[in-house]
Amino acid sequence: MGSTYRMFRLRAEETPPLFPQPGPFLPKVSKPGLARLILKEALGYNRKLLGSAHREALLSRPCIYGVFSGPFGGFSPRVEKCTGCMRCVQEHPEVCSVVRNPAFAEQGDSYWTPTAATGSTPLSTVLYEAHTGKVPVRGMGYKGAFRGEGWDAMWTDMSEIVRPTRDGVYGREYISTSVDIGRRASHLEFDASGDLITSSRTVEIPIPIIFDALPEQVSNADITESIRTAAGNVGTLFVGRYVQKEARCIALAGDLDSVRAAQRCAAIELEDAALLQEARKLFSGPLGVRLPTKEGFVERAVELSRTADFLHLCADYHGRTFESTERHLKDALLDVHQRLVQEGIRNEVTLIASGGIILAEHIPKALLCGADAVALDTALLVALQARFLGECRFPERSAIQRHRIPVEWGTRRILNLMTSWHHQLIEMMSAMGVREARRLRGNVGRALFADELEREAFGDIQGY
Amino acid sequence: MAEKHRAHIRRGIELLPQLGLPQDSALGDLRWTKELILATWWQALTGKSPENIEHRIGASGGGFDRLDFKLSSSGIAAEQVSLSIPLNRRDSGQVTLSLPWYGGGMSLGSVSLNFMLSRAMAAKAAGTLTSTGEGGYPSELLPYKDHVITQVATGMFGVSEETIQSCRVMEFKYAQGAKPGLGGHLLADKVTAEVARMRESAEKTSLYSPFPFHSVYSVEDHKKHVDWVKTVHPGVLVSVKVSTPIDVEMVAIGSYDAGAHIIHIDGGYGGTGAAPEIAKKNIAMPIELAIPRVHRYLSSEGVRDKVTLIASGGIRTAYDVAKAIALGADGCVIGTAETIAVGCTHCGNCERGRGCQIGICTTDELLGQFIQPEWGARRLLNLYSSWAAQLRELLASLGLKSVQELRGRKDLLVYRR
Amino acid sequence: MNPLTAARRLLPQGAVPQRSEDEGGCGVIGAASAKQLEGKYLLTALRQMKNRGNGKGGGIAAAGLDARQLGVSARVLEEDYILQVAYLDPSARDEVESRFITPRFRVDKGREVAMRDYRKLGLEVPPPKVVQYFVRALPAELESFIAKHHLAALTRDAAEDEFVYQNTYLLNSAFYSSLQEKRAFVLSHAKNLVVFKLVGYGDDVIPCYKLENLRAHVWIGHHRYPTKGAVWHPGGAHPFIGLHDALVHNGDFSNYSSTVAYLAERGITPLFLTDTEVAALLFDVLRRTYGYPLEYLIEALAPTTERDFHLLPPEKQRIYREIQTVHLPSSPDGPWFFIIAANAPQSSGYELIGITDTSMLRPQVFALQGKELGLIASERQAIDAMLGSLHEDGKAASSRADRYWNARGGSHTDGGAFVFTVDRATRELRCADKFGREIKVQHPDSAAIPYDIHNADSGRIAAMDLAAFRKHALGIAAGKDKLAAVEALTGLMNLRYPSKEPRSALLDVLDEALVKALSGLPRCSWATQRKLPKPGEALAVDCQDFPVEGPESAARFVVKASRMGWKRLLLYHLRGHRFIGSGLGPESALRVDCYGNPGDYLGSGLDGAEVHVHGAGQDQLCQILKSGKVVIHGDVGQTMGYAAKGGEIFIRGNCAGRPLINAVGKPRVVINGTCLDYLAESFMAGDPLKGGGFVVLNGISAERGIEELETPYPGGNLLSLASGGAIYVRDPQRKVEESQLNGGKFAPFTAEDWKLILPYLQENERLFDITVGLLLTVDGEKRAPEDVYRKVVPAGMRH
Repeated sequence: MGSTYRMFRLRAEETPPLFPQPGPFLPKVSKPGLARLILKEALGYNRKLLGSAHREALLSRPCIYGVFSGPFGGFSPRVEKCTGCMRCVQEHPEVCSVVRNPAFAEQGDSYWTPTAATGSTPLSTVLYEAHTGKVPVRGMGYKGAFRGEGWDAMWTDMSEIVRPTRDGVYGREYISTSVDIGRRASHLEFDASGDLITSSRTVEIPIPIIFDALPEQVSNADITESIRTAAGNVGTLFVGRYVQKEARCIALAGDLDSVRAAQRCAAIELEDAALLQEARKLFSGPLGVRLPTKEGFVERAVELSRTADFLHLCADYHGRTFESTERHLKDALLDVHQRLVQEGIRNEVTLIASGGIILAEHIPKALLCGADAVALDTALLVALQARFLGECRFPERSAIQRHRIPVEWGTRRILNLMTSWHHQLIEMMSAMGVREARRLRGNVGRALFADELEREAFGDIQGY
Repeated sequence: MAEKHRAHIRRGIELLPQLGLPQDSALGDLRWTKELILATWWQALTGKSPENIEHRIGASGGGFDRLDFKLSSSGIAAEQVSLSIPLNRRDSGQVTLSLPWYGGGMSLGSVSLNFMLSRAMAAKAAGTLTSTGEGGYPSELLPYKDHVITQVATGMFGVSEETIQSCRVMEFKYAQGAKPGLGGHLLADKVTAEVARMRESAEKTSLYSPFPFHSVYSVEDHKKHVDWVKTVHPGVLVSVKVSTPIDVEMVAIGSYDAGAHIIHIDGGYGGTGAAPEIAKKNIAMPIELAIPRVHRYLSSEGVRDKVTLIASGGIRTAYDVAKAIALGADGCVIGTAETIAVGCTHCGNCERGRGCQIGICTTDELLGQFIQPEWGARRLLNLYSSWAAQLRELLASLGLKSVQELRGRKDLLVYRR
Repeated sequence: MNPLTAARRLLPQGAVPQRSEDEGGCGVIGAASAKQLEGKYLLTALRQMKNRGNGKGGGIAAAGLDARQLGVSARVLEEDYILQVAYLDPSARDEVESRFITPRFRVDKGREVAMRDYRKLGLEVPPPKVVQYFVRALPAELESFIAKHHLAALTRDAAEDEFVYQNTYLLNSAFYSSLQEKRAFVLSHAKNLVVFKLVGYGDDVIPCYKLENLRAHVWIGHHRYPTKGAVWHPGGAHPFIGLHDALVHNGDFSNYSSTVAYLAERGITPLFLTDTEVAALLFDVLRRTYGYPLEYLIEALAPTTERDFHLLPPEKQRIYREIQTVHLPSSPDGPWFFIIAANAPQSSGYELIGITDTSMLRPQVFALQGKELGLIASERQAIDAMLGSLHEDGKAASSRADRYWNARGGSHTDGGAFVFTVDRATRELRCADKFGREIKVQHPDSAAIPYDIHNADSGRIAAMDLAAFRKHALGIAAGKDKLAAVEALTGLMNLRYPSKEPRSALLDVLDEALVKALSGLPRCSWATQRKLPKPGEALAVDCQDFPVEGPESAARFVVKASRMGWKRLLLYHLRGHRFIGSGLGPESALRVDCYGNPGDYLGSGLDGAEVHVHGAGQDQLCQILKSGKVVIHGDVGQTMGYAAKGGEIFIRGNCAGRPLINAVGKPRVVINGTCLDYLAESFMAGDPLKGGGFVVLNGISAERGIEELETPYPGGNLLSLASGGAIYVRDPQRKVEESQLNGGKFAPFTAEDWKLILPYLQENERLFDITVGLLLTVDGEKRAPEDVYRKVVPAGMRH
């Protein structure tokens, strides 16, 4: 009696940034204007100053967030407290102004900071999530563009009336985000006495997210260790080189010696598909191939799916393929998934996608387009407050300013990010009315593609 | 103290449209640009269109912001144009609106009672409607009851037979565009004695709205749900507010089959008191894409003229209203435009700490005094009359005598790349 | 690769659809009987569930037929495939036959199914002409098929099955594809199983094809509620077929495109754009292509997850985990409920199978009468309607089942699925759950009942045979004070006492006596409602002919009578009437008694009045209940007390899923049985000790004395995400675990708590004869309340 069952749950813990982070707003006060204002107010209330209620009124400031509540009030505003509500401007348009902080828009690169005019960017979102572990919640409506490209050219569906949404948030109802990495049998087989003889070669992870290996020039020992520990705490896997005996690791192997050394790893990802046959003899767990999205990768994926247990499809850090006519990872995934369905082998192989997965919403979108799981790259670096030096697009050619960080802090930040993303994944699955992440894979019926919908809606309007 | 700040704020938002703001001002975003906010303040002050501020489109780069009308001159005088729309097209018991828009649901607790009253007073004066949202029916609204929609949402807070029986229009809120398919959560701190009384709950107890209606897991259940309300209040007009999933047209026809008079589709870019950012941006489609889909489908099913299609979720201006109607809606529901009218800056901090800096979305006593009902109602009416004038002028120049003639006239639209 | 999968990949593959047509939910019924039943008995059940469809599609299937009726020999019926083709365009017949039938099959008999004039039945769309061909594959054709498709490894029978299956696929592709003109399609092609469907309601099918007297062991019927409405074809109606089976469905998949992709990988392209077709095809793949035993097949469709998985024996966990690895990605998500009629060669007989989804999102009731009849339906009233018409003709022992229950989807307890099998040889009916555990009717019993009833001499009744009991009951009914007679008979209906005869038989007698007694009261019916007598003590209302919903419904009549001043209404002959007690507004002097089967939403919105149901309740009872009292002398369905604000609810039996979800304020509820799952989710009812709300969950069965259930609460979620209120669970063995309290915690049960709940338990005793003394007795010993009851409260909110 007494089951030990526990629902999967990640717990967040406030982990403030180590390095100062510019906020989106800069409140400004004209000092002469302020002086005049105070004088005027003081005179106006002169006769009533005896009553304490009026003194309170006189001293009360327009800001409800405390920007002006320091000892010098408006002469030395507490910039970091500004939320951009504009109350000070509304009350004293001649004296106060709030402008956009240029330093805010300069962080990250063109992929991480598409527009600061909405008050948040992918970068500020990830920083918030890594800090608090919470789901970013705001009032009012969406502030961004009607649509964008790539992941921003699709929406996810919600269920309404004909299918109920599920109530998965806060664990109210069961929604599983687990997926299996490896090779599934096409069907089960039983021996003459009815015993099951099939066994799949898979490893289960509780969220459809793994952590990808980072090139050396953007990583350091603290970052690697934070990622490793966070993977262990979440219960997911990280991709790593030169690792041995790491149960939560997918060993990235470039040669057979590395395969031999990785016997106790959860899985092995080969950089060279030619090693598959030999590696199979050396390793009994899930064996996959890293497949950069270069010219011909779709055909290559079909071919490799017959032997590899999983494929790791990599795009660049901006989510574009490495083809001469580059396209977005979403389209690459749709293509590979559909080809594998046609070939009748989709369910047997696992498809991991990576490259520019930087926001929580990218995960369900990647899954709907055909991935079983995604691997993270620069999102981890941003959570750890690494600073980009120029565009960070091509893994081996990017430069990043790496800090020494306490591993405990780094682990917490990544764990917080995963907590927040896990909740957000559940929100989107709840809205879709899907209660197993495994059933998101290739579930394109629950995806809304902007191009298609715009054509349907506006196609007959002149000028479209 | 409230008096001092109230006076400052009123003066400030009266002044700002004329003063202007610096180029890099933090006011506004891509959907509600600085110009649109200032233009709305101007209209709420004067009841007229601003001359030097862009008040027609925002900067979202798509949807309404790319659509325009093919204007021509016609002999119709703007004053002759009718803006009224009927809400009931299927059976007896007509409710006609003087304007092709009404106010969306905002609950007590998510907004202050003063702002609720402003909206109800304006709705009554303008001959349109406003909605309680999901937070009970404060007795202060009773004088305006013929202009107040009772909303029944998934938590069914404050819903009783009495509140259903006292309204002319009852709205089932299945989903909200800003958080399609997600429920609500009112933190324990915000559940004051008054809020708790309204919602018939206990004070300082967190309140949750579930994601779905747990009594409705299918269209057939939905019909039963509508039948139930009609049993409680025969003759009530039933509005079904849904979001915009891929099969929104099926949801619409299903709602019609279930007996709804009004199908209200709420697109993803609408407002809210608080919602996960991920939902606003990513779940379900923008209203511009959903309207033609539903209009076309209802037409092909032969029931388009038996049901009123209302669109909402990002309707910011009279021009958005007109475009939504040209895409196929009968009318619109607005919300954010009303909060902007009384001084909202679209900053999105509604759910933080004490709530709204000028007391729209707040349960804070001091902040709640900034908006006085009569002042708020005046501003809303000014905005309505400015919009009405713009709409009449637009319709006249399109050669239409009634806003009802504009419905589905995509041929009058042009897409500007 | 599996040989059948390989063979199908040679078929011309159509475009893979991404989205299905939505369906709004449906009305479904299935019956399995040891004796063959005529089609007409499905009619009442389907008619009474008409409000679950919209006339845009109806269908039936029958298995275990009578050879004589079909004009073939018993051997032909057993061995031949009944290829049943629907001709939408009768001129297609020659072409269909010359391409897909005569060159491939030996036709032992072909006959056109007789039809009635559809216009006289009120149908708008002409139903298809149906031709029944009893066929076997021509040996040479089968040989070449086996050779071409490399199927030599299969048995000849299995290869012939596939031959038939692929022939149908090709026929449908040629004559009924979503893109071209629809001229003909195959309704069914199993052995000893037929399907009929049309554009209309399920009950239109039987008169249309003159199936009233067709006899079969297993029947299923379906009303469709598709949301799209302009153009309709019968091909979209249910049932859909695999090979040996026909499936009806209530629900809508949220992962249609993943399930379709799974089929596409196996060379199967759906042609009809509904998820029901996909369900039937999936079922066939798992059962025929892969040969899974039923238990594993059900696991592949409705996996056992979370705590339930954890509670499975380790060996099952190993197998189920493997099933899930392979099948979970393509198993249907969203709300669904399948009823399947099957005649599979690997089974011992004709099967009726009901499978529920793992979140229990669709209404479903299972029932068993003796060793004779098994039923599955969306609503209990449909089951009772069918039993009622059978009983009337002397074909069922009673108009009630002996046992009704709900399945708990994807659970370790019953697996959410039940199978009724009529043995082909012995014609015996057996019912088992997913795990193969047999479900039996527990027979009257009586000695176990240790207590007396209030108003009848238990000793005398125990000795009565049915005739004597009837005399006794009619004697009561003949009493002078009619209201007292009604009360006495009602007591006999509601309470449990020793008897010689099955309870279901006694209840039939009491129904009869009750109607007699009610006839002596001021009375009205649909026909006489306009001539109401002046308000008096009580009004009896014969609800038979009242509409079940709408402005003229029984519920609105209750409002009208109440406004006239009636303070007590006795509603009888209820048959699924909805919203009883709604619309009264604030009203505290009214009492409504319900006899028969009151429908969904009973007591919803009630604000002060009292409603007593002398039997079972259905779904969505007491929604937004504000004040007043609802007493149910039986079980209730899904989502009772949703968003209730107050009031009192007493339930003798069990609740299905999600009772008291999102309730606030101060509702007070006693549930003597248990509920499936999600009890008091998001309960926000303040502090019960300071005027808030609570639920007492006794976790007992009160059918034969007081018996503790296996566990007071089998679900994995109790008080999830609640912020107020409390659950008092009778759990002397401490069986409820922390892991079930997803957001709740145990709190000390104090004297104050006992003081709070005792009056409710005393009222419970008065209503149901479930004494407080017995509730406190454990293993024969009386215990202190704190040793018997446990208190669960919200754990405090996480965010």
